[in-house]
Amino acid sequence: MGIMNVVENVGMNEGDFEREPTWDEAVAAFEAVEPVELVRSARKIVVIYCYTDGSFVATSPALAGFEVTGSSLHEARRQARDALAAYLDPVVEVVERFPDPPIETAGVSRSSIGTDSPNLIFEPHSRSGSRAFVSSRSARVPS
Amino acid sequence: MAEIDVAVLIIDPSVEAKIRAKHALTGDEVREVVLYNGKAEAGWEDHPKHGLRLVVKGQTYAGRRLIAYLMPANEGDPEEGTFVLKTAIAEPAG
Repeated sequence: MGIMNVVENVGMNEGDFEREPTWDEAVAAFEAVEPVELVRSARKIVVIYCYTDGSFVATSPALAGFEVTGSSLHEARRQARDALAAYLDPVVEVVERFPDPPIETAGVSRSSIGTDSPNLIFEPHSRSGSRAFVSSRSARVPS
Repeated sequence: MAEIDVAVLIIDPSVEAKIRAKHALTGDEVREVVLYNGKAEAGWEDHPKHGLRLVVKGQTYAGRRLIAYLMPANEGDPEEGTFVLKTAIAEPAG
């Protein structure tokens, strides 16, 4: 082993040099193992619902790629439950977290923000998105 | 069939870095399969070099199939429930 190899390999473990099996080899080896049943102790995952662009979206920090959308909260919950039931171990409990009630009702495109300036009203430039940039020009203080 | 409960899964940062570099796998993906996937399969393998290890095969919610190799943290009681991830292999994309 040359000196450069020694330098490059500093900090690596012995197992890092071992050739890993290919996926097909690993699958074939798995067929030969003594099977055991995985039993899970009770654990929970959190599903978070949020309201974005006119839809309710459910995501979970524990499941990458889990995202279901419904036109209503009821529909989003139903779809999330169906999707999770197909994936999760039955003992895993789903904890649902819901969005806070909206500040204003639909059709009103302005909101009050800030605790130090309670009378300051902002009118968002865009009425379509849930996150609209608000410039200082659109801010007006009611008399 | 015997039963095993993977109550605790320990993933060392160096192992996570290794599986990320070799297979673009994350520790969270391994946790998904080992801890949550109801369809994951498992078996004991008595490897001539690595010893007794639990092999878990399953897929993430996003659909990645992987095989994880876990060593019992307590060699004297392999069914105690605490395991250490040694490595994981992902099915190649495509």
